[in-house]
Amino acid sequence: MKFTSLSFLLFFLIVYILNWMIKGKARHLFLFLVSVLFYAAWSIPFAFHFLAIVVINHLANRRVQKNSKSIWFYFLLFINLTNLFLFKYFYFFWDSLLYITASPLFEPENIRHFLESQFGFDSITLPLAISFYSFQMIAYSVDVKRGDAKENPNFLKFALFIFFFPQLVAGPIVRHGEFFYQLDQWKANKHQLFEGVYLVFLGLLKKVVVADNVSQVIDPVFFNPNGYDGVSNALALFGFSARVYCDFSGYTDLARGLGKLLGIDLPENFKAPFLSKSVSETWVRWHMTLASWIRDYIYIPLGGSRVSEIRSYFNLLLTFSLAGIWHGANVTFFLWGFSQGIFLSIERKWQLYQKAKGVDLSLPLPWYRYLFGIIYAFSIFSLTTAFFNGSNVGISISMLTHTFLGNSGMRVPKLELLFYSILLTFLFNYLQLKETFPRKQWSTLKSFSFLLCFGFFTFVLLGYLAPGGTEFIYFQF
Amino acid sequence: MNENSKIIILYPLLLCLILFLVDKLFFLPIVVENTHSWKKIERSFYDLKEDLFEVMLENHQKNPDRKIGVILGSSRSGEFDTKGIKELLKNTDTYNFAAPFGPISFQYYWMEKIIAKELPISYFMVEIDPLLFTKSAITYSLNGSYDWRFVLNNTDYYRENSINVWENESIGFSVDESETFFLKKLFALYKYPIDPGAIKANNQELEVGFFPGISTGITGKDHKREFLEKIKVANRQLLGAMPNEIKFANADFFLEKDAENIYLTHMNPYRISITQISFFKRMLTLMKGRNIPVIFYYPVVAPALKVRMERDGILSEFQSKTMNLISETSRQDKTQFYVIDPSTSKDWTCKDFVDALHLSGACFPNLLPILFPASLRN
Repeated sequence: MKFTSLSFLLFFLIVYILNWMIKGKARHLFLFLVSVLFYAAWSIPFAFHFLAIVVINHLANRRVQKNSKSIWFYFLLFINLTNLFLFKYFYFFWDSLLYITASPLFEPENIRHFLESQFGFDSITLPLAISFYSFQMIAYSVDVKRGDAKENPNFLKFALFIFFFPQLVAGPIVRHGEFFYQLDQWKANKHQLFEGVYLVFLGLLKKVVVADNVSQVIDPVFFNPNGYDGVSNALALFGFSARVYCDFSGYTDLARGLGKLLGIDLPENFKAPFLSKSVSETWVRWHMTLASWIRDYIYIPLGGSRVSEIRSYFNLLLTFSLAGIWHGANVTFFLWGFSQGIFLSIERKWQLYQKAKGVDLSLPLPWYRYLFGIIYAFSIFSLTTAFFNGSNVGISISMLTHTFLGNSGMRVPKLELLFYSILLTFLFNYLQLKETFPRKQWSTLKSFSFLLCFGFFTFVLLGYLAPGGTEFIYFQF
Repeated sequence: MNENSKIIILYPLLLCLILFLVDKLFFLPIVVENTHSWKKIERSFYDLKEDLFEVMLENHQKNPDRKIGVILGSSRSGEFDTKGIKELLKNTDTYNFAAPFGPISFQYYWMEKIIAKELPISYFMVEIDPLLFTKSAITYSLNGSYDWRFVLNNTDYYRENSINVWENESIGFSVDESETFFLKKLFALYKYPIDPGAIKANNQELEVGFFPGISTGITGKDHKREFLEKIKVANRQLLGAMPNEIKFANADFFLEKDAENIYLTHMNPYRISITQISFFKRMLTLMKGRNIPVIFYYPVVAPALKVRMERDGILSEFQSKTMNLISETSRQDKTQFYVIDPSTSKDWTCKDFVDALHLSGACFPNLLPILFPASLRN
């Protein structure tokens, strides 16, 4: 069920009404059941598979809660990582073996025959949201073992923490400390509900009006970069930055808005990432819940920056390569993550050099350096999307080559749409630094009237500019 | 929950309700007249098929002995001259349910509805070609051309994607198509978006073709009104047909350019629709054993477009798959399926086209006898 669909609108209206009618702990059960139903709308068998994984996690976590040295923690890590590996990385692993050994044993046909003869299906389907729920469950287990998670929730609360449908499919990746306390203090809050409605409208605007329209212009270039000229290739890369931001930030706005309408605050995932002055700052503001997850559960356990200089570069490269692979089982994602690690390492070296020269890095930058920083960070982000969105390394290399050296292909139509979309994307980024809505000093009537106007404006644009709809990019992860 | 909280949770619902009601204002005819662009008037062909259906039922009540022929397809079939067909099939009135880009789902919809009325059907003509099986072919028809119960009952909620689309067991519309239909049914701003360009064009006087700057004296709105009236008159006098009044042949270079445009827009890459395949299969099942002749017609297209479709193997694969399905079903007793491809007939001599898809109006007298073979006429 897409968030942008009519069936979801009807589903959510019913859930919203019942959510506020049902009192006490029955609400936990209700929200859990509708969340399972939401997932089952995609696949009933995988809903049971997901449920089984949650039950195992809950039971094992209870053991670890009692004894932090319990072997159940390692069992859980094994279960969650195996589940992720089997469904997401198996084919990547198998293809790599074929590439390395060239043995006929690893031909795709063999695995297809094996699956068909043993299980009655010929391929492994990637379960929806597997990367997100696996990371959320691993983080919780680690926190339980570290003694940081003391909530000791019952099954319903834990299952709701993982299954909660607004954030289930593509995050934000929620931490236990941000969620459990809210289950016991539900109360309708005007400010929260108004913000929820506002975020839903804003998310729809970003996704349907900007991201989906940009997609129609740039997809043909990513499909066949050799058919287009250098300008088209370059603008497709910059256009993709606008698209991925509006798509994912739009999804996050929708998820947070829906959460608020049900009385649950979910964490923000973006804080004006395209107004960052460096790649490292971008990663503090882009997909914040994943970035902090990587920092807390991979980078810092590896030693972070409190190790030798060379080791710190290695940590950055390893962490970001893994972050790349998290996005998808493809060499292109690895290269994307690795390239981020390279730029972060270069920036770290530069910072160390400046510090050694006695430069005070805490001083505010003059405006021209600030502007240069934004252009630099945005350009690096955009150019590396050749790997993020390119279907294979050949396509990615072609796009980068044509961008820098030009190509004799045709000019992609509607280029002006990309310019407007990039401008709008920067406006959305700017708004994330400002106080938007609801304003504390506004009366209920004023806030309601604003929402009515904003909602109507959104409706008009959705009707006029909706190109037909594409899936959210991060749903594939 | 206290009273205050109860009121608070009503705010978002109240907001949705007000927005929903405001949206309904945009369904008012006076508003639609401005927002619905006269340039998109072809969509009205779909809506006015209901009117044609009423005409068909009224005529049948008046003359129950006369047989009924039904043409289903795209604008290419919409041009068949009812009077010309009447000369070939004496006791048959042919009703033309073809609509621009009329996909198979729309053809099936009318076939099922007409069959349900148990009328004395003389034949059905079904136009099939790769264009009508593309994913985009359904777009016009989702503007409210189906009955909502039909869409609801024929939506495939658990459609499985398969590599071989022709083997797919889908039963009808995808959930996305169904959603689009209901969105357009429920929300005026989705069906008739506020497009400043359309509003301006509807209120501006039209220019005389080929003479920029010279006004025709009527606005886009007037033109739209006149055109709708013209379709209603055609429904009564020509039983839905709109014979092509353009009798000339366009130059080859124009046809080549048009063919390339059509190919790039709709068939590059060629994305065949599981929905259309499923309705085609259901159409065959519906007509199986009914003893009603069904003419499956592969429409003629300009040579430039045919060559383009052949070069990529689109046409040959399409024809072989559809032929197989038709021949498999036609083995059943009392099933009369005819497959006619005029481009392979030695009798087809008039090959002038006004664009890559449409035959010149002058060529229809040559085409009609090929489409209605002697066995059918008797």
